[in-house]
Amino acid sequence: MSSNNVSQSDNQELQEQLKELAEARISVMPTNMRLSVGSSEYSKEELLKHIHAGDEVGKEIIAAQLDFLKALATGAIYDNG
Amino acid sequence: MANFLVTRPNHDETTDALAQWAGQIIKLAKEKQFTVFDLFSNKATRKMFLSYVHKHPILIFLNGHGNSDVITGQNNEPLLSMGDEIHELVQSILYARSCEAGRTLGPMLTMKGLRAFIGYKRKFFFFRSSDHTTHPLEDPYVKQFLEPSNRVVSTLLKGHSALEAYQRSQTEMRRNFQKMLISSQTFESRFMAPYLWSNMTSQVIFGDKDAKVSS
Repeated sequence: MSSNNVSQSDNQELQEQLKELAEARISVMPTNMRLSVGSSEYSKEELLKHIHAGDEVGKEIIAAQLDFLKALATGAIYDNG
Repeated sequence: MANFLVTRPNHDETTDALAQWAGQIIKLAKEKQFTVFDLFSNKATRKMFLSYVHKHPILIFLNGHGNSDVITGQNNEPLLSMGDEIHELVQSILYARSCEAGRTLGPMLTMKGLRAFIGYKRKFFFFRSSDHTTHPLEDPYVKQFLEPSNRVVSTLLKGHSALEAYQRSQTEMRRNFQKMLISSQTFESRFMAPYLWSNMTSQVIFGDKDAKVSS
C-alpha cells in the first residue's frame, strides 16, 4: 500500500468521524428548533439526513461544528475580540 | 437627504424573517432623515433594484439568499452579481445579509469601485422557534442572530464608520455567543452557540473602512 493510499484512508476515516460527531450533536437538537442554512430551513431529522448524505448542507453543519470545537480547543472563544 | 436602499424579499420563511428584522432598520433610517427606498416583497426585483441604484444610494442593505457570486431578491431573482458594472455604487456602502457574498462578490465589487462592503463569506445561520413561526420579531432564537447583524446598519445610520459598524456587530455577536456558553443558560442557547460563532467568524469588511454615511 502506498503512502498516498494510507493518507487517503486516514482522511476518509477522519471525515467519517467528523460526520459521526456532527450527527451526535445534531441528534440532541430540541424539536421546537429549526435551523436556517442558506435558502432553506431544516428540522433535526432533515439535518441528520443531510449530514449522513454528506451533501452541501451536511458539510456546512460539519464545518460549523468543527470550527467551534477548534475555537474551544485553542481558547479563541474566550477572547474579547 | 441621502438615499438608503434596502431589499426585503419575503418568499420563504428565511427571507420573511430577514425582511421583518430589516423593517426595524427602516424605522431608524426614517428617524435619521434618510430617504428610504424599500424594495419589499414583489418589489425586490432586478429591474427595481437597478432603477434605485441609479439614484445613487449612499447606503445599501441587501437581505436575501445568495452565494459567492450573486445576491438575490424575490423568488431568488439575481439582483447583483459578479458580471455587473454598476458605476453608481462608487459612493455606496453595501451590507449584504446573505450567504457567502463576502467570499468573492464583495471583494470584487470594492475592486470595481464600491466604497465599502460588509458581508459574510460562509453560510449565514440562524435558528427559528416553531412557537413563533409567523412572528420572527418575537422569536428569542432569531433575535440572538439578527439583532447583532442589524447592528451593522444601525451603526452606519448613526454616522459611524464602516469599520465601527463591523466592530460593533462583532462585539454584539461575541457578547451573545459568550452568554450562550454560560452553564446557567438554557440547553437551546448552548446548542445555538456554534452557529453564531460561524456567523461571527465569517463576517468580513472590504474597501474604505473609514467610509461613513450621513443624511
